[in-house]
Amino acid sequence: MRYAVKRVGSFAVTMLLVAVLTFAAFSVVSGDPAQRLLGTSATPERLAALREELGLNAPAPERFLKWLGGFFTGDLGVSFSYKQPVSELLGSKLPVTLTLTAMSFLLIVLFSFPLGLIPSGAGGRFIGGVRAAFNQLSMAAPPFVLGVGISWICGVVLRMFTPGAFPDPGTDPAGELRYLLFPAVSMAVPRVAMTVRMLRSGVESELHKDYVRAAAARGASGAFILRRHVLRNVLASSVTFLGQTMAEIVGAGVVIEQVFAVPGLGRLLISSVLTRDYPVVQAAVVLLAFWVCLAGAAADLVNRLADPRLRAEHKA
Amino acid sequence: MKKALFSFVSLLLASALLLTACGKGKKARPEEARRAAGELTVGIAQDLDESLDPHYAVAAGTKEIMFNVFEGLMKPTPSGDLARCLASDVKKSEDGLTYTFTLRQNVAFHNGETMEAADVVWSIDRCRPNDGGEGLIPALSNIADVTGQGDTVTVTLKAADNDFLSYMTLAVLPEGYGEQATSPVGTGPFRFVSREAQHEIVLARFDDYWGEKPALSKVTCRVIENAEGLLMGLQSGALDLVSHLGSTQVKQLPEADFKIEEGTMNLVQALYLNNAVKPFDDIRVRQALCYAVDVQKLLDTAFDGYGSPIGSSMYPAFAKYFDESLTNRYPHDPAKAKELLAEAGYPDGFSMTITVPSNYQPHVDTAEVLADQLTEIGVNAELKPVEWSSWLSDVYADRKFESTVIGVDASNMTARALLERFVSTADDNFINYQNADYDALFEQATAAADDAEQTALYKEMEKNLTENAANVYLQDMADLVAVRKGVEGLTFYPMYVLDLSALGWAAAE
Repeated sequence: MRYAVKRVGSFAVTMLLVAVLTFAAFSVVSGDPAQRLLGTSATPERLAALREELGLNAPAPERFLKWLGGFFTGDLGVSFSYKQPVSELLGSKLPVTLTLTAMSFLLIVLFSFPLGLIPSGAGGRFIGGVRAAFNQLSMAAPPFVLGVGISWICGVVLRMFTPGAFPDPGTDPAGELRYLLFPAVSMAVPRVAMTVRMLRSGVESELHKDYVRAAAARGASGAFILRRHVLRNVLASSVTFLGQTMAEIVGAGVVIEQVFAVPGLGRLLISSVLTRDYPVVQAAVVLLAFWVCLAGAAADLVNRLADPRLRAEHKA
Repeated sequence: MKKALFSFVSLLLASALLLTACGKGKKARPEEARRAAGELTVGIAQDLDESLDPHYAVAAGTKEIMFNVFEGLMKPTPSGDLARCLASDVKKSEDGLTYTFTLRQNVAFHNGETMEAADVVWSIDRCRPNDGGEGLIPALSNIADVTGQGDTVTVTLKAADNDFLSYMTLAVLPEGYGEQATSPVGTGPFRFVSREAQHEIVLARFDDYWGEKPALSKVTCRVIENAEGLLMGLQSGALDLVSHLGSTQVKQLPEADFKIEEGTMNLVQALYLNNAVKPFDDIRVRQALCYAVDVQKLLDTAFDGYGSPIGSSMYPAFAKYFDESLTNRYPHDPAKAKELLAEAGYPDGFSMTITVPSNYQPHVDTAEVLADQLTEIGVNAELKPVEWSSWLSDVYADRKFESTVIGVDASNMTARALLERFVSTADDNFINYQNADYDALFEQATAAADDAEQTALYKEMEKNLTENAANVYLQDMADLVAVRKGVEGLTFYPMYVLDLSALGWAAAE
């Protein structure tokens, strides 16, 4: 119980910090949203009127408190760049980003576990070498480059999908899923490589531990030891790792959405930063931070369920 | 061992299958489906304004597309003239103070209403700075009165103005309609259908259009912010037309599928100098920079030879006002440049910064080449890339900069707009140009009795800018448009618009 309270408390503090920092960052960078909206045709009168309309004249702390108050009452304000309520704007982008993240995460889990748990050395030196090279390459490739490469090969050369033709949101769910598969793969590839590597070294180190030798001495088969003993121990560290991976995917998604022209949250975030659309940035950042924190908390929870020792420690 | 290898390979195969399975079951190629339906998808590099209300829209990109949705009493033509549009006839009084417009009959708005004189009066009143208006177009303060009756609208001016009709291109909107920002209604050949932020804007043919109906039934403008994405979209079949591409980008497109059409951007690209800061407050320094820069070499290095050199704040599309002779006022002459610098007290050159908006690659490329060229006369120019928002606030509004590379357009489609901004007191005189002769010339030009006199005065103003080396004038950049083969009718205007009504698919062979 105490643990839960502590956890929720740190969660809330993190979120508040994120909100404050985002707000503070915007007070420091130059660029006036009103000037941006009016562009080169701004006249002093129109600028003044627009600043007033957007509520930019109030001092920063007051604006922040107003935003915070709105946040808790479900009012995220109105986007400067779209004159649309922020909640409505985010609401149309969020499902796309969530789907993309989920798909990518699923791909990571589906591919990295079988690959990672195959004992190293399997397949001989040649395959091992190929695997190592693939690992290195895919981890080193920046998401942007990988994304451009994949959309080029799959989209332009093989015509497996049509980059730039994401279906209109809500009209073609199957089409959306099919389109999202490609960005999801681009995001998953480097992380599959990393996860495999992590699992491998985990299994490797566990296999040399005493309890494995003891089990082997009892006559247990290799596969049984792997499944029954090693896996459980490796799982604890890999769940934490996957929690971090989830956070990374959220970050990578921001870039990948740009590359694949996916109308998601990440793309909205970038353009809103550039246009100084504070209400949207503020809400999007908090939302993404929430997602990252949630992934961490979920990993923690799974670990505690799987490992009785962790629960015991806190009781003491 | 074998088993492990097998599972690894089979996993790879499975993923490959999964990917190809997704490509299966596809009907015709997307571009062929569009061709059959008479539809077109255009790629645009930035989303439109927050408001689609034409009286409020400011971004060039918004006007470029919404040009197809709205019309005014007058309409600009590809040759740079004005044609009658919603007005079927215009009469100007002897003294040039009264304009009488006869309205076209049976013009329908996209919401089904019929255009009446009251709509025209309301639209003009909304934009002019009077008691009830919002002053959206400061130049309309010259209007004394607007009245409408039956099928005529009469506008009375305070002072004669030869440019007045060009302001009457302002969009005519249905009186009192409140949803213009999100669901715009005009009289143009295309009507607005829908918009999804950061994804697309959809327009459809307006079947009750008073004029010749467009060939395309539907046009989707898809927002793709990066150049790679736009190129990929063209090649994958997602897009049919993309404007404003760079010369290196169009080279990547296969010639079998695309035509590259070349127009002009209609911008005055220059190294704009803050005339109020040292050392640019000295005419000799400014002239030295002009002599030091080799514009043709710049075009060859950074633009593959595309673009037309200019020598003042006027671009060639305004043929009537453009003075070709100013282009070569400062031939490339580093020796002369050094001499001038020495006279000004900088025998060893100086250091300066060039602020560039980092999202406009052509300007960044230009600044890099310029910095390189300036080293020849001992000037050490450092690039300072900034975001567009920062550029607008710091450089344009606050005038806190030394020099910047940017393209300046004619904000309200008139040649006058290009020149008016350098009058000492102008709000948008961001280079702090202060020249009494120039101010006097402008006053004479606005009061000029006839067009010929005014044109001559405008040319004098251009010469004034060139002689005083107000800026280092560079070029009017080329506008490269990639068009899918089969799409016909692309028309260039002396301003930033994409005329969708002229576009269509050629009959299939």
